[in-house]
Amino acid sequence: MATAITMPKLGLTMTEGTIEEWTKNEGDTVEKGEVVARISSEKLTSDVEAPASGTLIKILVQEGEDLPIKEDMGYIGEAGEEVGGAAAAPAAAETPATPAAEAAPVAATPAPAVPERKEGERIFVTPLARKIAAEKGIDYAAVTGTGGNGRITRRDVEAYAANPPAPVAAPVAAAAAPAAPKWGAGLKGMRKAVATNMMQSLTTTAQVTLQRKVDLDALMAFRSDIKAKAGDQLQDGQLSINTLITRAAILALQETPQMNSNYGDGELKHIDSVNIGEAVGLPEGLIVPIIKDAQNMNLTVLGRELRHVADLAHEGGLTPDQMSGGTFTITNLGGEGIEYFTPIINPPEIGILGVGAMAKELTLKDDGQIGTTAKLPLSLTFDHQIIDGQQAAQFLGKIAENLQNPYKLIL
Amino acid sequence: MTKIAFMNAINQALDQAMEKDDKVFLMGEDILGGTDIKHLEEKNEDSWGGCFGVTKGLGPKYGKKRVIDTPISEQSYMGAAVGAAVTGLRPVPELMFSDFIGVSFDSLLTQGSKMRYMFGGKAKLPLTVRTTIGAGASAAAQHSGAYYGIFASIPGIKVVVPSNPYDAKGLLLSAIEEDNIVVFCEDKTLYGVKGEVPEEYYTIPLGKAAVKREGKDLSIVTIGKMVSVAMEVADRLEKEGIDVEVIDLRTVAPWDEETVIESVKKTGRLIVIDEAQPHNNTATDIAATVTDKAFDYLDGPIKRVTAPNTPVPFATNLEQAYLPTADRVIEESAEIIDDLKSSK
Amino acid sequence: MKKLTAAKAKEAYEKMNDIRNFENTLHDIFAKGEIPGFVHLYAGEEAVAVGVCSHLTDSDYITSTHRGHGHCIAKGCDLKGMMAEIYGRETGLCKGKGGSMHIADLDKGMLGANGIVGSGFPLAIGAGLRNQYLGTDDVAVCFFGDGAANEGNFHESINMAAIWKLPVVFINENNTFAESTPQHYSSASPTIAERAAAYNIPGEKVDGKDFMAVYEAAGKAIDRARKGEGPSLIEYHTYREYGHFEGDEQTYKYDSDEEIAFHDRDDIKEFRAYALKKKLFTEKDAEKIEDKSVQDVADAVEFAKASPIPQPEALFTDVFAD
Repeated sequence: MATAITMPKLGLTMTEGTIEEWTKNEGDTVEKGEVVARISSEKLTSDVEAPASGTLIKILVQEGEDLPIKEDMGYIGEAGEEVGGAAAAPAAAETPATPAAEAAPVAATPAPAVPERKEGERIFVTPLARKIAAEKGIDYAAVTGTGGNGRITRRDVEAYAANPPAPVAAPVAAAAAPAAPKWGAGLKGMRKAVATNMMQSLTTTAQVTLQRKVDLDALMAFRSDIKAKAGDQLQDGQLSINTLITRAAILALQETPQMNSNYGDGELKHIDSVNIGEAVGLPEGLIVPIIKDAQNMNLTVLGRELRHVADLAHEGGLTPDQMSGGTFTITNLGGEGIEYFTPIINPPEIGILGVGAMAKELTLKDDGQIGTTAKLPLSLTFDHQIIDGQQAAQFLGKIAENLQNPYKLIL
Repeated sequence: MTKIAFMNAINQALDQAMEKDDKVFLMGEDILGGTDIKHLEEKNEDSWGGCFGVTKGLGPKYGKKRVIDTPISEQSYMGAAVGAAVTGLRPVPELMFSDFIGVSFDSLLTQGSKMRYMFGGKAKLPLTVRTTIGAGASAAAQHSGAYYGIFASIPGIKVVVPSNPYDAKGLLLSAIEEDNIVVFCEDKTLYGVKGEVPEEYYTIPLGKAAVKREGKDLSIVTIGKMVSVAMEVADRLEKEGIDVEVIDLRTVAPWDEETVIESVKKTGRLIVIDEAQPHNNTATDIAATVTDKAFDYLDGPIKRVTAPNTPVPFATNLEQAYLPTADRVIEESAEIIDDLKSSK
Repeated sequence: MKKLTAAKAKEAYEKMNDIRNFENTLHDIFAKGEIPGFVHLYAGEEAVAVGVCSHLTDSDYITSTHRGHGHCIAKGCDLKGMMAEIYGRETGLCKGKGGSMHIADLDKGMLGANGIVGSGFPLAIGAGLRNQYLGTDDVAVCFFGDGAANEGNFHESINMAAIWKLPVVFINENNTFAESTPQHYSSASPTIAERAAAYNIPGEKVDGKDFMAVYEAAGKAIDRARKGEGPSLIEYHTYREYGHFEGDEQTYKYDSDEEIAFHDRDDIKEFRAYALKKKLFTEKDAEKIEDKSVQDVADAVEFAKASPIPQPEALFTDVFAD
């Protein structure tokens, strides 16, 4: 009996992965636990180990191809053993895209006549209709059945194929299964994951961005003061601007629990712990490592963690768990000289803070003198489905307040 | 071409088979009817010529040596037919009603059908059992059965059920030429049905179905007198724009898988009409085989329209309700017919 | 009726020995578990099969019973082919597809041992009908047990044979028990033979342990059939040496002194003594026949064991003639 090698699920949101490399060839002997392939998915790559000892008798999915999680990518068995039925392998080879992938164009452009089915409701389809749908690359789930018992028949599939539904923008209904929209066609690995996430974000949320400046003079003075006093002890980045801004945001989230939420799959969840994501730009794409329970971290611990996860991200060493479960993200383009921008929410989070480049501005001081003040431009994107503008503005105001009263940051 | 009745087509086939091969002989109850009756023998006349008159005239023509009236001893004369076949004759016994298989079954079930196999291929059984089947003649529960499926379930027996006079003659001549046991089932309610029948000797191969009309939307496979029901269904559905293919199975064992499956591959929908009771019958066998071998071509469930799971009733209204009709076929198959209508 | 010649007597003695040795050997082999299925042994009844079949040629037909080995040997079937059949081998008379209960050899006019009690009757009617139809002087002999005498076919078939004057001889082997049931219990008529009166045919009860009595009665009946005078019924009283089947404990046996005395008679020894006395063969001839028979049966076993089992494809062949 052959043992299947399946696409692992790495992290909560992973739905499919890409075979980056088979490190073994068909016919090679493998030991249980030995690495047979490398896959990439979402935002990381991972080794796939042999689930059993034996011979790698069949590679079903070639390098560069995608495969939904839990589906078979190959088989280990005894040399010469037949697996999966004679038809299984050639079929997979001829149509490298999996059924789910084939479903993409259809599901992405659902017709007005999309069948009304409850999620998970059984679809009745005749053997012939199923066969024709497969041949034409049609996802029969999108076809309305007119046969007995609401069954999808040959005629239904042929009618659907003859008159395919017109593409419709922003089609995703609230109740639609998250798997249905399929973006990133033609892209691979991390790029595809980014594309998917961004498109899902833009099509499933009501994004509004608020922008304001924060006066950083107090913060900078505070920082200089501490540095002068603590000196060499500050090795962990605890007083980096980024750490301080993050800390200010964490405190604001604790005060505005509705912002520290996840919304998706028709469910809004307020989350107690603040799991803060910090966007890290890599050559392959954007990645957002998550620091869990950040509300419990003082500046020292937080600074160390921020540096640690950034290093891991650059090394490709993040675990799936370090990449999921975030409640709020901070993205920083200040290094590139950007002031304001409109960051895109990282679903299922409902808010993201964009940090711009700090700059000194001429200001009229209280005493009537002209001076300079350090100003930090902040951009907060929030999901207007969950949060209204005023609340969001107040939340952004709290961040500003925290930054302008830096002693709060060490309490 | 002259039109003759179904029963006359059979009589003609028997006559021509006996003429062609002097090892062919008939045996059965009252098939001559005048044996040892002096006033008839003096005039070389028969009386009944079989209880339906199907063999009438053959006794006087071929004599009581070749048209043998047997005592009412179904068990032994059927066994004698097997014994005569295995020793080189070509008997054509008549079992007056297929219902009498109960009293004669052993000869076919454990003896004749198995001899060639048990004897390692050394035996030949050129034996054709003619018998009558079918409800619709007010003959009630013990004289109306459609038991072809019972015979068809036995390896070593072929089973033929003709639907019209032309087929009856050609199939019977084929059966008599066979070196195997053939049970030839004549629907007694078809005996009077007339059709064109060539006078010359001709055969129709066993095991080959006839496509009575071609169609692309729906296949109906059927047997014997149910062919006319299927044709009526086809006519009625044609008016609704549904193009029905009707297949007359002609031979129930072995039935023509190739023709049936090819038809289902074309239409995707199948109704089987079988006059037998619903369980373990021919319709069920066909439905199961098609599901097994042509699953991916099915565009709807296979519908079996059969008699109910009851004996054949006597009262006329009940007997009419017992037999599958076009109305019943359309009603019971609505699930696969209605969506053909709606999608037009 | 032909008188028993010296040559015929020798041949009969050979066959009786062959049957006895064949069955004794099977009894031992079966106990060792070497052969599959049911086995019903004919030992003890040799005089009947051989006494009747001594009058027959290959073109005459016989139908048989569960207990058919004796009829096969008496009708001239090959010992090796029979033994291989019982072993389920490809070289068997029926290619290993029939077995003990269905051994047949149409070339020898042997229409098969039969697993269904009483089903040989109509087959014999058919064979007799064939002989009459074709105008041959061949006969069909129907061997049947005391149990089969109570089947419906007994009546239907004898009646038909009688009304049509078929060349059929009904040979009842009354071996005292139908399986485990005694004939005196299961038959309303004290003898099977007397039922012949109902069909207006000759009926006779004869000592089946006495070869010469068997031979003479059968000869008369077979002659009558060949001449077209119709069927006869003979009841041979005999006794089977072994159980109904191998493994039968036979607790129903030995119910009376009379039965025990009858059981103790050995038809082969009786015939040997008779033949020697009548100088049909010599003591030396007899010993030679006896030794050869033992050797022939041993050779048959060896042949069967060395024969291949049927090819798997044989499962699917011989259902229909092409």
